[in-house]
Amino acid sequence: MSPENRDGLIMALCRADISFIVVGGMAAVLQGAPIVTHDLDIVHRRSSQNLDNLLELLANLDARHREQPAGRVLKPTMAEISGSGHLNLSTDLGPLDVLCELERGEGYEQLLPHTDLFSDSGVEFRVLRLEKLIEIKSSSGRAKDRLSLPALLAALRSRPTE
Amino acid sequence: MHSAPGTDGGAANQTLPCDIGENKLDHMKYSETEASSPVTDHEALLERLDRDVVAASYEIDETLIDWLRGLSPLERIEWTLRIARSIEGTHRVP
Repeated sequence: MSPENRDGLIMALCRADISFIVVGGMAAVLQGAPIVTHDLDIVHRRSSQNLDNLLELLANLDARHREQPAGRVLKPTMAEISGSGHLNLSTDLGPLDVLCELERGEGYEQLLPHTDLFSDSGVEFRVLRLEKLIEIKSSSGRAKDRLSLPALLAALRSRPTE
Repeated sequence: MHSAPGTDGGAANQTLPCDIGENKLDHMKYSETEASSPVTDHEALLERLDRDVVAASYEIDETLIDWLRGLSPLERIEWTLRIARSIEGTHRVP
């Protein structure tokens, strides 16, 4: 497998004992939505220990902001990951968007009830449910978000009933 | 996520150039009876979406969805990344 595989990033996050929720397009793909994306978006728990673990992992993965004014290499900081903004990072394992909160102010604790626990290859991680993703993307004004809705709806509709 | 639904005049407000079967259109019909009936969260969500977006979802290849469901979660990620990389490759300057 290529080192750019995002499952590598998920594995790294899990092995670093970081509490996070996969959101965005990759969350939809994990639930069987046929969309193409190369970003891994996560919302992390902003507890002291979790922030320490996340910052340490980001350092180990040589994470830096993708937007680098005048070629300067900007590393993520504790102030940034403990705030409320979004960090668009490059890492040794590929691009990673670290979201302290979604645009609607929803952080880890608010999103947690809308997640399912996934397990694969010996690790467990939380993924935002399709229903919540659809709700978020349908209230978005971004064309990119709205264009993904048909695929998300189709995946939701074809999901086996329990 | 910066404005209300439908304010961007984007894809959701366009008429789709696809042929949607009669049964599918029937499925999307909305009536007063439905409005007053108890609905699941899923149905409530669908009602909030633009009808054209719902219609477009019927054009998604369900065979592909079934195939994806047969993969493990991490294999699904590998699938989308492979396609993303192949698309990126077509735009890369040699």
